[in-house]
Amino acid sequence: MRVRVRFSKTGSSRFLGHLDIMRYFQKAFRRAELPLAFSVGYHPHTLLSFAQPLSLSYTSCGEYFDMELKEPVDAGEIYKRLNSVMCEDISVNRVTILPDYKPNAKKITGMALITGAAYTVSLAEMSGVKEALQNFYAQKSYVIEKKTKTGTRDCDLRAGVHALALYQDGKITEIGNNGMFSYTGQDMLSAMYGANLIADDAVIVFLDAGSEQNIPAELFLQGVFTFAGLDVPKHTVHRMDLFGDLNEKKVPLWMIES
Amino acid sequence: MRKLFLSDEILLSVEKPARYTGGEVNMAVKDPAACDIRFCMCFPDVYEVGMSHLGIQILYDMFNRRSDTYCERVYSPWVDLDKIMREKHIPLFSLETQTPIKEFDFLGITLQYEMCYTNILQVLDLSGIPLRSKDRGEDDPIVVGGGPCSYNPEPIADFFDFFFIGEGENGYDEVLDLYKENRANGGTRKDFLRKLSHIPGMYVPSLYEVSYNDDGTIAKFGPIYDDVPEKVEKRVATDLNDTYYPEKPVVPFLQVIQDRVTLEIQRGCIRGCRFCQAGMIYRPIRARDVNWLKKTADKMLKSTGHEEITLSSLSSSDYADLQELVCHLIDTYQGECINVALPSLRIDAFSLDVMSKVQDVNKSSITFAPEAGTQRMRNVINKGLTTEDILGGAATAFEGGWNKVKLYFMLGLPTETEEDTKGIAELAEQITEEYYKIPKDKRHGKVSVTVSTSYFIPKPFTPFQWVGMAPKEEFLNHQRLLKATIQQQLNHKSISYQWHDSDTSVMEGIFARGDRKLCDVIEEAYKRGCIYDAWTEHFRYDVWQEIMQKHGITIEFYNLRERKKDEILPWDFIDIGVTKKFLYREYERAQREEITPNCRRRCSGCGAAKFGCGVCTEPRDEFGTSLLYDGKDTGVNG
Repeated sequence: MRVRVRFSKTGSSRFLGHLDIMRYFQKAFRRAELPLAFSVGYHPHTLLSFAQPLSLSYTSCGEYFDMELKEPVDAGEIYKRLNSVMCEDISVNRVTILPDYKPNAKKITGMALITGAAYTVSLAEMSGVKEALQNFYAQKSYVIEKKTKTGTRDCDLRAGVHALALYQDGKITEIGNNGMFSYTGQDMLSAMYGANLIADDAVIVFLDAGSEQNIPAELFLQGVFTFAGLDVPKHTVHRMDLFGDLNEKKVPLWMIES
Repeated sequence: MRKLFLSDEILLSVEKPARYTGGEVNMAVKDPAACDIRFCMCFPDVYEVGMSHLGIQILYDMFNRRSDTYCERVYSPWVDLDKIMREKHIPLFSLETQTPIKEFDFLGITLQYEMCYTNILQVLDLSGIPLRSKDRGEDDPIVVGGGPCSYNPEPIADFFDFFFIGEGENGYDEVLDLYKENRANGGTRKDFLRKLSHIPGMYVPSLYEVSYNDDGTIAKFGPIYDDVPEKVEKRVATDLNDTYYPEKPVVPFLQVIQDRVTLEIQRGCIRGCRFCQAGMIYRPIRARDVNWLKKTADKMLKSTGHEEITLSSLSSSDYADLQELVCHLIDTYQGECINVALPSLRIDAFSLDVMSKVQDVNKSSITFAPEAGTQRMRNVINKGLTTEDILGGAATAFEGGWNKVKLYFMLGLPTETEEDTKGIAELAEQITEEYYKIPKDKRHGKVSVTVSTSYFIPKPFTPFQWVGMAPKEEFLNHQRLLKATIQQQLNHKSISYQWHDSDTSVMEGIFARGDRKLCDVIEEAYKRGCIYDAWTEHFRYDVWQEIMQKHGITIEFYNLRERKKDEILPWDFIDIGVTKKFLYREYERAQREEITPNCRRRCSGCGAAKFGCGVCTEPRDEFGTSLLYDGKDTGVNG
């Protein structure tokens, strides 16, 4: 049985690297006594696939992995059992049972489905930020050099930004939205997560993510502030969710049943 | 949510910030304000090393079972954070509540190896605690040391308020109760330490004084006051089935060295190898009940989620119910893909059978620790393993499909000759020949034998505590001789040779049998920037040499000279049960190349029987042989 799990990573756990999180969940499944399926061979491992690594020091409430179980377990039961064995700053917030792969079908896991990500970026200094975001969003394109494993390549940063909003003094101001994402900043805050997650004023941004075109939150910030001729203020980043394509819209990964 | 002590900027600028953030699964969470005693447990090395240590996990669990005590942890900051903390004057803090160490009642430091001594000073210094016990005030934590190196605490005596000599499961309640009582009565730090010295096992260095002869040896060592005992007797956990063991050990996020459940099956050893300190200080051997172990293994695997379990002991083959335990673990957990890691076992049909079940035969190697190359030399060190045992074991393993063998030896052993060193090369050669005796179609590729040597360091409380350590030049000559001899042999291409850094061993030798005069040297080395001496890349032998010269500390005096029978040794005031008389008798037998039977075959009257437990109380036949004796005198491999 295939299961997709969304979890949050806050507090001290934001300093755990991707490999540590994977090791952590491997052990958590055993503590939760979930019937995990294993690969065959002398060093069997659990069939587990983690989505997009999160940068060190970022918090998140939208991290994902897909796993395979030997026998069916109710989603509510998985949720309960996993949360009963979590450490203080990691918790499971959604469990989705996925349909089995069709015979001979290509196996696509959560990782490969990702096409977008939503972040809130809390900034220590807000003066000029609104104008900077507006000016940036008004551009048709903004090409920067992006470092890759083999060298650098041009990347249209503007094209990778789908929606922008500002959260200030408890209010949301939409800067722009091309309608690609099924959610707006307001939706993300009120309907899904609640504004209490961000104490400070923040920028809410919907970006391309995944293997096709990946815009890290840090790169977005550098771009916007460089364009405005400002220094990037001190900031903290929180990932709200990861998205994949469904009916030509980007929707949270848990809504995609494949 | 716990607030972290370090800022995000600092945490992002150091390697592996998770070393400093705590919050692991099974971490103890308590309200510090509701606890009378705050105890911080320290392993003075980096997190991944410290978190691999079973002893701390046992004591952490034991302290936290007390509702009046909150035990937290701290490890040495790695060199990157160490530098930042000094530059920015950031004090060292605990992992659990991220509280400065200076606010604790106790700082407990485990002493697992001598080369961590400068890291003790690093921890004290970064915590803002005066390095010397005499300079500490009422607001400073009480600094206590324990673990194997506390059996000769003298080189670091000035840095500790007291040492806990022996096994921590038995005695800490008395210490903590006394602390509370003393505080309730308005007693001072000094009052506490004085009363503490009356509790067996507690050594308060400031209550003892030492004077020296002109030649540097000890003239007199003893307590300053009449009420302070002359001898400090080690504490023993007499019944290992009725004591503390962590059913929910802390599970680190980072990949640590021992990333698995550790199940201590027995403590102590019956073998009596004459170079081995653990074999003497943990006497008598005490086993845990097999059913207790099965239950505990299950609880620990469930509470941690570890994918591997390992058995811990000094010689697992001497555990009577080993077969039952190992088969149980494999049968129960192999289906859940939990790996059973096998400890040092005697290589025989049983162990090979078990190994083939849990390891990939093609990839794994079998290990022997003959420690010496000739039978004569093995008799001197009382290592019972014979050439026949090794060759027979290797042959059986080769037939079972193995083709890799690891061999461990020591160079620089007392009475060593060139023949003994050449014997190592010959033994390796014989093993390769054993491989080519099996039919070609049964062989699995080429055979590979790895010979590894270390530099023998005489340790306190062993029959070799009196001997001179081999000079470095002599040791290096033997190393070269061994290398050359291997090269000249027919199958030299199948044998690889690995050796250890000799300078580190020289320093370890000095610390191991050192006296209080070394405190100044260690403090000065620390102040000159020495830390992480156990890490070859950070060990600065030139600095140590310079400081020793300045303080008149010579390698000749501490390492090379043979100590006289009647010399007062710095650790003589500690009573480990095993008597000095017995150790000397063993030393004489070593010189006569006589072996001594193991504790089960015949009691040699070492003195540990006074603790009235373990092998000393096993039923015996009319010849004095324990009914648990398995008839095997061969030593254990590893």
